[in-house]
Amino acid sequence: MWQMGGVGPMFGQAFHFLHQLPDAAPPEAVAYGRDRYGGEVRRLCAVADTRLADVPFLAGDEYSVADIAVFPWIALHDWFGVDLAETPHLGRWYDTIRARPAVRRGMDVPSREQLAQHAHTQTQTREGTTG
Amino acid sequence: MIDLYNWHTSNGRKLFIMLEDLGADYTTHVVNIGKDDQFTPEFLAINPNGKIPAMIDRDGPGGEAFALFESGAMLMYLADKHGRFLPPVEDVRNRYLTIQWLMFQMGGIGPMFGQAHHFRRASTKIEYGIERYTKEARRLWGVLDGHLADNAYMHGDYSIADMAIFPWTARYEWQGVALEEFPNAKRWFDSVESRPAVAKAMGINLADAA
Repeated sequence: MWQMGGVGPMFGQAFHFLHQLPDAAPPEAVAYGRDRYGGEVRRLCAVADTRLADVPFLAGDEYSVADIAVFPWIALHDWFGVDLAETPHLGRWYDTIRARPAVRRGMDVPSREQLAQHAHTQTQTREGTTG
Repeated sequence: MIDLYNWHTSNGRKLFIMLEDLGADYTTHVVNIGKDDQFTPEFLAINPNGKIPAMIDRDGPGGEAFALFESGAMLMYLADKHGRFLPPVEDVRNRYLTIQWLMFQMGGIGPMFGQAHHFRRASTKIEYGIERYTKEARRLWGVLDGHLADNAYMHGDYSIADMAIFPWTARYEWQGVALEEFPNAKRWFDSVESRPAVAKAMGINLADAA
């Protein structure tokens, strides 16, 4: 629930104000949004870091759906300007989860090949409709 | 006995509604978020995320004390403990369809209505934020209205999904919404609001005790 109501929605808003803004977005709104949601991203990372100082996984000793729900957001840490070296326990957890074969396979959907094919198809479609 | 650590916000009222509907024995410990009570070491020991509500069930699993935070998790725990307001594990379809709408509140209505409240009520008006989150709040009201055209409650009988959603919809004026715009949601709203436990829970004001 911490992921559903906190990490997901707040990381999502931070992503919007960092990467998805329309050109016409006024600078004061951009600055305000980045400060508000960027601050919340850092706070949530600190909460996870504190928790993971005491236990290997979010729910305790075992890998669970809580880790699965949070991981894809932390995997985007570069997009949020988050340096995992500042939260070493979260960083250790991230490396542990990332090394799981199922997580590797899950994070590779769609595959790079599929993405490339998709981009190729879209380009062809655009050229077809405009040509 | 439940020790409830709470303040009278929308997330806090979910637990007042649940405990009143259950007729459960509980004591409210006032956590005045206007005075940063949620960041005291005592409270952070219960919820390291520093947000209300949180609770300790003195008669938890195995008869031992059990601390829990996140309103959605607390509602599910109490529902399972009392066998009310959430279909049991064996009734897989109805249980998960109820949880589905609880999650719709946790990930959608709560966070996005919350952002709409923030931007619309801030002293410095940021039009971009007001427009973005008012639009999302209205979209969510539309989803509610569409669903409630065919359903008396969010799923099946009155459940923890209704309890979670109601206190956020009760702030409709903060979202710039008139209930008459969403007639199916209004019918549901009036029905939930008329429950004695809901009326009592919505009337709680902890400011006097803080």
